[in-house]
Amino acid sequence: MQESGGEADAYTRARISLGAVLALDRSETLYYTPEHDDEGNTLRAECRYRIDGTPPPARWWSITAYAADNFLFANAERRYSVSGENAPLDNQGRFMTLVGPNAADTDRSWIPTAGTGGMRLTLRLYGAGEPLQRDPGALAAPSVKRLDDCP
Amino acid sequence: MSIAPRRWPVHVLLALLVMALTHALTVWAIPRLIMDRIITLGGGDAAMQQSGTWVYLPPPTDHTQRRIVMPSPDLLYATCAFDVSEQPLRVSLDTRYDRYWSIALYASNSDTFFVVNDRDAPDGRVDLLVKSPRHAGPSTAAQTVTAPTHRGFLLMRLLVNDDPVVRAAAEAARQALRCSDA
Repeated sequence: MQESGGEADAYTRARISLGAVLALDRSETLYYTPEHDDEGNTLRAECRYRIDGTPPPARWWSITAYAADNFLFANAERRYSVSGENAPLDNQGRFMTLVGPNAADTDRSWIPTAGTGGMRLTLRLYGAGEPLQRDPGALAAPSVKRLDDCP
Repeated sequence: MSIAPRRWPVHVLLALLVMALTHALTVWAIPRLIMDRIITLGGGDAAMQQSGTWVYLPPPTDHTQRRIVMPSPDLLYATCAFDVSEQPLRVSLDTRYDRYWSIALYASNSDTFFVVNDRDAPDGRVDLLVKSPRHAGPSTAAQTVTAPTHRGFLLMRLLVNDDPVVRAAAEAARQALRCSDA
């Protein structure tokens, strides 16, 4: 139980309000929001991406895809994220999930996107280890690779 | 009509000053305007509030949720908009939810000023008085916190999954949240 006494500067406060209002501070949750793939290209809703990595050191984690307006993609399957609870791990302890349109229906680890335009991914870490809270940049971030050419 | 040559530096400086002030005002106003909307919406749906409290229980998060950006589909929420200018707010919870949950308090400028989670309160109990700086006097609450602004917003998060048993437990846990006048 804690009082959060630290005040953000005006620019940080405005930036967070526009993109992640009501976020929690790092002692509670860490947020990573890549907007580019491993090649430096802007993430796009009409492209397919493969995300893989090792489960981050946190009590609980998830990866969610958001459209350019920062809301969830509409999809009939109601799949919006993968998490440490449902992401299958391979025999090396790594997870892999697909993000994009037209993934196979049988693929359990898939986050559908819709439409065209920008998108962003958000990796949430609840109860991250203290070393990572002190240095969020030390995270071994999952890779984000585009699978094929986009329209 | 033309500007006298010796006066154009003054006009440029005035224009720069106006631009700087406009920029600063915009940066200052953005979080406050967004929070004002959230606070208004968070307490505005009387039909979905629990009797006797101000707690709003939004439906499970999906793509139809368009109120707050970047909603987490893995969380169930409960919210409470408050104004402690006249009297303090009493926040209480008594639950046995054995997964992650937290209660965060936000000021009207969007700053987080208090957080409690399931590990901080392993017995599942929260008894909190939220007051303005001018409210003095004893409190019977287990903990007192001073809000930096009169208006604010409480957001309870509960980690859920697709298991109906977990969903039902989370639903019961959020219904145990109470926000009321102290």
